[in-house]
Amino acid sequence: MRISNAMGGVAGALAFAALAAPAPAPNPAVVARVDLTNLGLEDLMALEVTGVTGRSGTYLRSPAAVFVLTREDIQSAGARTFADVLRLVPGLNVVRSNATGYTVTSRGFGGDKLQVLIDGRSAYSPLQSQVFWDVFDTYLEDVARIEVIRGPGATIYGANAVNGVINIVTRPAADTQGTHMHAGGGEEERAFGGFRSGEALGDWGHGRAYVKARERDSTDLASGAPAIDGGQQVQAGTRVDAAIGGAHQLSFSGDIYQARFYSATFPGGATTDTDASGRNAGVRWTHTGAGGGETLTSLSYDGYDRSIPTIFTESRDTYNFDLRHNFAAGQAHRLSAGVGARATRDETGGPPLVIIFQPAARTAYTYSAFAQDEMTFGDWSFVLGTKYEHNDFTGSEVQPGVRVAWAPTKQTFTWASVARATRTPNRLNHDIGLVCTGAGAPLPQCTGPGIISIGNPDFDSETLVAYEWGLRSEIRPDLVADLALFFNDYDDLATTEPPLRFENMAEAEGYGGELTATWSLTPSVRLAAFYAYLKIDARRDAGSADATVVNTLENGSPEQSAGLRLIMQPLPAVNLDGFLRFVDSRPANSVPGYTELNLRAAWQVTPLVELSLTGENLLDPQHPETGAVATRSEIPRSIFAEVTWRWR
Amino acid sequence: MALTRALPALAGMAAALAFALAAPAARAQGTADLPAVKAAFVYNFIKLVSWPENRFSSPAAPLQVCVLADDPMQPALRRSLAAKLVGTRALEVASLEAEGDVLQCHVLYLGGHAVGRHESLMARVRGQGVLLVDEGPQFNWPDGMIRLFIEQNRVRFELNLESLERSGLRVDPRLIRLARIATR
Repeated sequence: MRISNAMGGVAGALAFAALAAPAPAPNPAVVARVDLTNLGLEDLMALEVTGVTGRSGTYLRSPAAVFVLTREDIQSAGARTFADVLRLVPGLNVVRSNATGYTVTSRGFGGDKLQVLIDGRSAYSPLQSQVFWDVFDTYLEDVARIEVIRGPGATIYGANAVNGVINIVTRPAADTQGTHMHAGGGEEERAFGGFRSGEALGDWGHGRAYVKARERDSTDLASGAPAIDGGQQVQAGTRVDAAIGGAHQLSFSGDIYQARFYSATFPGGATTDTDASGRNAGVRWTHTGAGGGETLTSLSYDGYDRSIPTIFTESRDTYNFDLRHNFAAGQAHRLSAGVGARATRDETGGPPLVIIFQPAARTAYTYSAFAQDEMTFGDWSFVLGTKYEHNDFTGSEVQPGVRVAWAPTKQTFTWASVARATRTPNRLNHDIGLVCTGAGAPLPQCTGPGIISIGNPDFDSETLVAYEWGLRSEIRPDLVADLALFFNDYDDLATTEPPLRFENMAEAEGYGGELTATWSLTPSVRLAAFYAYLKIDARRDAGSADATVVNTLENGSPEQSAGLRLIMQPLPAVNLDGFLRFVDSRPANSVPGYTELNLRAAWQVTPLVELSLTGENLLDPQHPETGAVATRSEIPRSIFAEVTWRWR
Repeated sequence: MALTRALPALAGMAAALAFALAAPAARAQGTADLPAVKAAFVYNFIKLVSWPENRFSSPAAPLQVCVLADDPMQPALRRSLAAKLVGTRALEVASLEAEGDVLQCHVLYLGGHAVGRHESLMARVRGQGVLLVDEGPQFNWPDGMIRLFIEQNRVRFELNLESLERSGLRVDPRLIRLARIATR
């Protein structure tokens, strides 16, 4: 079913709902921008408040380069995908390669050095240690916050949390009661819509379910001709939370999706559609002991199928188990420890597909354990921790870290950290192969029919030792500044040796910093600004013949980036959001620097209904984010309208 | 953009508009700024508490809400309460010096956690018909009356009926029903 048809169906359902809806019961919650003194106590007590665990509380005292996007930040920006939302985060680089494909990196290097979790479930694929951002989605209104840590988080999150961790937390089902619907469309974001409904389930819990669909237009080639790379996706999901007694909380969540992306270009210039589908389910059980100790047990499943006819197919099922416990030991210590296990099994297609894996099917196991002690002595605190991980590719990996923090005043907080992290090999590093059909086909490295084994069974982990320092200051109650500096020392980085084989023959240093400031000029005008600097020095080993790796590492990430965001409510019912960003050139990827502007105006027509108009990438008719001029997809200006509404 | 592509979105908006017109009274979910929410709580407390007649010079005399000059809640209280009417009385938000005349106040809001200063103020208004609202980490015995606190990202409040009674303040049962009763 084409998504535009689905949209028609949704619109019809909504029209029906509008006619059939009885006078809505008073909703126990309110919109932020109405005069709250009009509300009774019951309504006020049901209202979720921001700024509780936000900027000046835990945020000010996090001993890491942390940035938190709140639900308000996300809603106000109006972005349609996680990747586009992440453009708001200082130090992250989001590259959109075509209509639906993205790469997200933190402090340079590739997307394989970033851990991404949603409600504790890892979202990256063990195939190439990257997130398939094109299909990664949820009902965005249900996201409570996105916490981004730049720098390693491996002592807790394990391998892959090398340059950063993105932790997406969805709202408890109790907070998403009633029905929420949205629909919209325009240029580029051709059509999107969906609804979510939440209910109390007896006196034991709450649940919600959603369904959504979206369709994106094709981007354009540099010549102006369409790149024919649009796509569409339908997704549904649910979350059920239950409280058992006071001490036990159970949470179940699951999603399914189906997507099709048109005409991606692959080695040799072949173009073909991509079909992707997936499903996941997870159970989390939290037990709070009488002494304040907390035990979290989680079990999750994630499966997907991706098929690019004539090029590549993959089916994967991943099972994950985690057990974590933390408790206070005396006044000064908080100890946490945990164990985990993961099994992932895939099946990939063989020749005549162009990209194959040897063996075609493989099951890989990972076992891990971690321990951490958070110590507080007056103004000082220390975090000592390490993760031990055993994987099938490299055996044991140890990833320790130490953090020190000092809060000399209530308004000032400074921290420093040294940590080791590794990016363990994946299926691609080990097992990928290219099927040659003849000399020079499909790639120049082919000498005749046969298979080139690009993957290397001896490929080792890429390693990082990171040194970080940060300072956070509440200069005034309405002005918070955050500075983070880092020096990252990488070793055993991947190279591609002739004719085509992965080795660990490069090393690099990355250094730089990010400066962020948020300023609430008045309660209805907020300003946020960031500047990020990154420099990478890379070398290849004497034995390496990879002529491009140094350039790729040094010039593949933007040296500078900056953002300026203004959110204001000129009238109680109107929210305006402007985001201006600059991203430096990436010569290794043939792209110049660019400056783009997003604007969104939202009008709260009634407390139930919001109309908005969003413009993305307004400064140019189209701009490139990666790739050579001749073949790259350039991202066009996008303007779309949206309506959201809700009732009980 | 082809018209056919735009149609579903337009139909959706038409439906939304129809719904919007049909449901003007209902309210929607959302999150809100914490100080504004606390101020709205205070407004509701004022509506549900009655003061002894002798606390006002005339039936039309304004009701004074006092807050220390450097209290972080001061701007939100001014914004939300100043010039609002409760019954026949207008609300006035006044800055109070630590040594100022607390008996001019009908409501004394003690925000933040400046505990030492607050205790002496609380003792000074004991039994004098001043509604105390604070947000300390624990309930302030014996003088505390209403304490605002946060639980699971929501504002809650607890009451001490004894100190309210001692002050001659009468409390609407609706307020008691929604409160947590403070216990030692």
